[in-house]
Amino acid sequence: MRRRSNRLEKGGRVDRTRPVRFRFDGRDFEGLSGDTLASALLANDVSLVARSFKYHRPRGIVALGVEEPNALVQCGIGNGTTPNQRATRIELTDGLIAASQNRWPLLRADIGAINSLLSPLLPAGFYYKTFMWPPGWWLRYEHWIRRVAGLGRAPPGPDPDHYRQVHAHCDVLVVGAGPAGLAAAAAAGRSGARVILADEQSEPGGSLLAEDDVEIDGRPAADWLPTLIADLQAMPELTVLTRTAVNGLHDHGFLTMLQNRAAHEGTARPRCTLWKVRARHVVLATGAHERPLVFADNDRPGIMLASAVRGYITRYGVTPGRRVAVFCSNDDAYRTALVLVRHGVEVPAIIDVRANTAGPLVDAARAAGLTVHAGHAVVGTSGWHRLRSITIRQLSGDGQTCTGRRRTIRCDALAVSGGWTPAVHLFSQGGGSLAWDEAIGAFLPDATLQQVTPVGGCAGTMSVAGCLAEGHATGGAAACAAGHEEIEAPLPRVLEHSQSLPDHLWTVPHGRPGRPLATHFVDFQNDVTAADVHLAAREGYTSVEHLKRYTTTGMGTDQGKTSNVNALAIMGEVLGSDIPGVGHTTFRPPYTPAAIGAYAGRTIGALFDPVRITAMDPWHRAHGAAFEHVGQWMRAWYYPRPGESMRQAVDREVTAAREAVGLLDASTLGKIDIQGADAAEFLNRVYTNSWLRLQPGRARYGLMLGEDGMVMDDGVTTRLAENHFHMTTTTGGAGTVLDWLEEWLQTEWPDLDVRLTSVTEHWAVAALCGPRSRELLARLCTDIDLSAEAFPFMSMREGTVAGIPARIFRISFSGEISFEINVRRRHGLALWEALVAAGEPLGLCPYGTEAMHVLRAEKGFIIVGQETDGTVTPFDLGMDWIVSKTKTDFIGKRGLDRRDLLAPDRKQLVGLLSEDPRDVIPEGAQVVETVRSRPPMTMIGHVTSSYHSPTCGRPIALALVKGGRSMLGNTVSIPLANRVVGAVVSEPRFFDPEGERMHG
Amino acid sequence: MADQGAPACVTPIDVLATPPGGPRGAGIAIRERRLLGKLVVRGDTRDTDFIDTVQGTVGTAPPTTPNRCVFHDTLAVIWLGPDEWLVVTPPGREEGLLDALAAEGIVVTDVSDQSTVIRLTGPRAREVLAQGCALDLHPRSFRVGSAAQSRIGRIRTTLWQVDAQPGYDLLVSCSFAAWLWAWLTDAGGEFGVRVEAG
Amino acid sequence: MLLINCPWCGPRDDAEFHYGGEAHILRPANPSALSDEEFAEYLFLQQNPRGLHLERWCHSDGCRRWFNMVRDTATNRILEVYPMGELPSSQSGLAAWRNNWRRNSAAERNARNRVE
Repeated sequence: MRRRSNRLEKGGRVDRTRPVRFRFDGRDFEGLSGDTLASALLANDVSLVARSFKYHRPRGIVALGVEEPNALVQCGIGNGTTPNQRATRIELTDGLIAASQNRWPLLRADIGAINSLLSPLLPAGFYYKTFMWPPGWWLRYEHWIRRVAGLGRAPPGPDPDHYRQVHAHCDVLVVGAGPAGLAAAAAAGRSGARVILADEQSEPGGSLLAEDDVEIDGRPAADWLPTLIADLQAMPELTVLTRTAVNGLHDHGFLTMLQNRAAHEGTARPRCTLWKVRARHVVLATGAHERPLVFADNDRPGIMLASAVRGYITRYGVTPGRRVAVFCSNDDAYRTALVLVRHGVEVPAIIDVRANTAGPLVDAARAAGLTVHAGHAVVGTSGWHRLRSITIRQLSGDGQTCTGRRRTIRCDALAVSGGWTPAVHLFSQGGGSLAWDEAIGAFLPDATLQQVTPVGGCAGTMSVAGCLAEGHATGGAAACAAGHEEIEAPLPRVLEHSQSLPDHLWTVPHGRPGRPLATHFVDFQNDVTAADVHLAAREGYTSVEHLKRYTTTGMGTDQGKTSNVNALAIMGEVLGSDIPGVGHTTFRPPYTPAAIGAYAGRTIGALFDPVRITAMDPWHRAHGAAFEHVGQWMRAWYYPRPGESMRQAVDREVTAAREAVGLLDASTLGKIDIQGADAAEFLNRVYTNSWLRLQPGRARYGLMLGEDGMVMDDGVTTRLAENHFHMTTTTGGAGTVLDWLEEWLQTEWPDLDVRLTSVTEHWAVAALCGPRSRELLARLCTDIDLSAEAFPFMSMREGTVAGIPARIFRISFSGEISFEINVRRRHGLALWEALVAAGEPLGLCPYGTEAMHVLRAEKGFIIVGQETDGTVTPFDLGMDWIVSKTKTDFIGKRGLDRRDLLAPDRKQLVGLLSEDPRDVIPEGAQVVETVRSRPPMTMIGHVTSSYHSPTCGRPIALALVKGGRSMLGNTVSIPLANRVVGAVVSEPRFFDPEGERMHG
Repeated sequence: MADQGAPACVTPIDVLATPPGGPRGAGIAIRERRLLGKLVVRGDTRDTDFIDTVQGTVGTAPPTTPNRCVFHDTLAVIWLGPDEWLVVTPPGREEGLLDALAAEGIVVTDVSDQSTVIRLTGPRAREVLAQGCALDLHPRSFRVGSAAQSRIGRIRTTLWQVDAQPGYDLLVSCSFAAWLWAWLTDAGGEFGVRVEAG
Repeated sequence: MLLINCPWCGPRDDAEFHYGGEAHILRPANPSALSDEEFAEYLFLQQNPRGLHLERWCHSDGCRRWFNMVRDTATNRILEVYPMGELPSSQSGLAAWRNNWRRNSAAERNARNRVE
């Protein structure tokens, strides 16, 4: 088919000296620099660009900007391909590749068109009533639904682009750089306020870029603009951001904006930047969206919004057709007719639903020789891949029916205007309420608790003069509110057409009365018709929230920008209610679709989460350690020698710790420095046991409960001096415990003289354990008497180890004689290396977290978070000994007395010895008393820790079992996926039960 | 590894072994201020003895206005809370200062190795920080002598402005320092990053 | 993203803070005198109003101080922040404190008896 050029000889803001090549649906085309993909397609006479979502009807471009419902294309190829991009918002760049969506095999010959024939079976909500029978066929249905559903295609691989984020603060944020926004920014910026002006288009100007019949200060608007923009850019505290869509207005003046960067800045730049802005005052100058009229077959390619037709001519120098009719209910569409005529395009008719038309625009149209059919409506259209003709009839007085004969008018494009809908989305997102304005026929911003002021089109002011005045006043006031002095400046003088009030005809009657409104499209993107709205009402879905969700009107990527008001107005007609009675749905961010990558920003991949390592980490890595995550920490897990399995390595490490000397990096444990006259009293309140009489230099194990009596954390705390303690916590509890303690001090006991400081990272800790540990330490530490008498178990000494000042704690988690050596982190690696070197002849063996787990489990020492889960009390653990009976108060004391916590059938800590000595029971396995052939079986407990114990020469496990302490010696069963493991209930300690070894 | 007597010192940025260098006219420069002394001092500002003692020992009174940093001689004293300050000293000076304060009964804790300090300078330092820090760093709101505890990206950071270039000191826990170093390098990518020796 | 005015540090994004639940829950002085149900009221039950809520916040990424706040849960408007240990100074905040069922709870009576 021969394509003609729709590019006008002159006019438009495109650069005719710079052609741009692009490809659409496999065909090469040429456009101009400054085009969008939509304007370039129209220029190349491509009117068919899509197939509708459900019925696969041929569709064309409808709008000029973000409100475009139809022209969604797949943009780009490979991993960078992006679906559902609006052709009206894609800036044309050289080499652009785009394709239509939702059609197979071709846009012009789409099998999906069969859905159009099946349309009576596919009204709104059809999927709630179908695909249910027979039930076994669901997976077959699902397979085909997946093939057919959706629009574009997701990219096949990782996103090759990168995205950035940035925080910003300003006194005034102006959203939209049309006349109202520009005036607001100028007034605020003049006063020296910090101003951000954001507009989603590629250049500021807004509606002024698309109007050629407005004069400002004696010049055409397009010529007046550059002067003002230059003024703005000269203001040092004013930032103009183009290609930046304000997507969300959240609480307290917080906004999110998406700045598109890649297209014009090249691939080295991020594809887009997410701005997170805190503004003291927000001026919304977001303008208004034109809406179509709802009439039979109103969706054919070539039927467009009247202001869009006007914009394509004035901004891009493109006419959508050669014979363009106009159908409207207001004066504004006449401006389109006039601009068409000025550029030599034939306008066969203006069809105006208003019987009485008057005013300067109507007069100008008549003076230009145009035929105006007042009191008429378009009742039908023809043409499949492109509009061919329209049929008009006269409207009855009440607009409900048609009278008179039918007339057919040939045309290849139709400019439609059913009125204007102020873009109130951001105002509403920010919690502002809306009020219906009957004159304009739209919801206008009403009240808000935030510092937000709507101006111009989004506030219902449609004249350029009004926009400039409102923006000017509001910008100045906002700057004042932020503490800046308003600087006076004169308002520009505007020359423009005045307009009379519009009329509202929500449903254009069908040409043939009694026919269903099944092709009266309301929401083009989701294929929702007026018939669907009637159906929703018949089925009882009359509330506006139900209307939206049942018909899916307004739920597409355009969020109903051109359809919402029409839909709820039609519902109002059906219900016999006024529109405020129908109401509106909630507006939610994002205002326009946004790349998910922008919300991730740079905290992906290696930067997603910090990996925390200790001072000794370089040694662990150099010596082949395997690592495991403990929260954000990477801890050495075990140190396999070449050829060793994990089991072999761990067995060797455990054995060395019991028989010679082991070395563990214990740096990650939480450490809190506690000072103050009430420090001991404070410990007495937060731990279950007694602390007042702990001597300086002595250490004690402490258990911490929540107020509910459940075990929260544990650790060894040492008294360094009368009013000075060093507390340790679990690795995972370091931050939580400090926060917990601070909370109690600040909110409950502010009179206690206690100060807490975290020193978790200040101290690197190398823990020596084993029968030869004292011998090793003596080689490196000569200024402390290390004998058992001088340095008893559970005490602390200060001295020097390998020339490094150190605190040494005799604490044992392994059950062996143990010395935990604390040095400043900077010396951690040097200490470790010295210990390894000196320990080599003694058989020193570094061990990791796995061996540490085995050693403590052999001794029956609990790990908080493994044997406990927030529902376990000290009594459940058999740790009655640590709960003071004499203290009048500690956190959790009353909680422990609750009936449920004293019940005899609670889960209690026991040991499990598997009957088959090869069975290491999986941790987390469920324990049952009676095995059945299949579930359900009554669970009586679960396995909390389980390892092979080289010390005992067999597997050992700890478990919480109901009434476990009265089941010693019994056999229980642990059903696994394919077998049942039997185990004998034992005491929860397997080695050195008296604990003599560590006292030495 | 230790030379005679003095044990080797390794910082979290040492471990990254980032070679110094970078483009001339880079938007930012980063370097670790290695092994600075850091002391947390606690006390009641209504107690004039406490104020006087600190003044006498450290050389300046602790700032009582929130989020201020006072520079005195080679020390910096940063407000962390109504009863909490951080004293930052050149390497090695913290021990004597701690002993002097403790001798007067002041609650003081050595936290020198709890965190490290990264100095960030350059004409684009503000823009780089803005990519991850929600504070308002505009000169009208934040200047030399301003300090704040906040987040950069996901990481708790204490920062104070040291010069008008602008230059900042960023205090970060040792185990998070490598992440912050990587984040700064990434955020500065658009503007050019110069790495200086610590 | 609320903007919260920390009494010490000034306005900061809510991401820097940690929410601490209902404010003014007094810890019983003699909890063994409370039944399990009365103790559970203190420990587990909290107000969930649509409207003014008195709540605790901690500036966990900043100065780590706890403070109180009167916030309208329906609009997120923050009426006031006030120090830990004190009562709201606004009329509506004080009324919300007075009208809270907890003022008549056994646990609170038990807490107040400590003073007498």
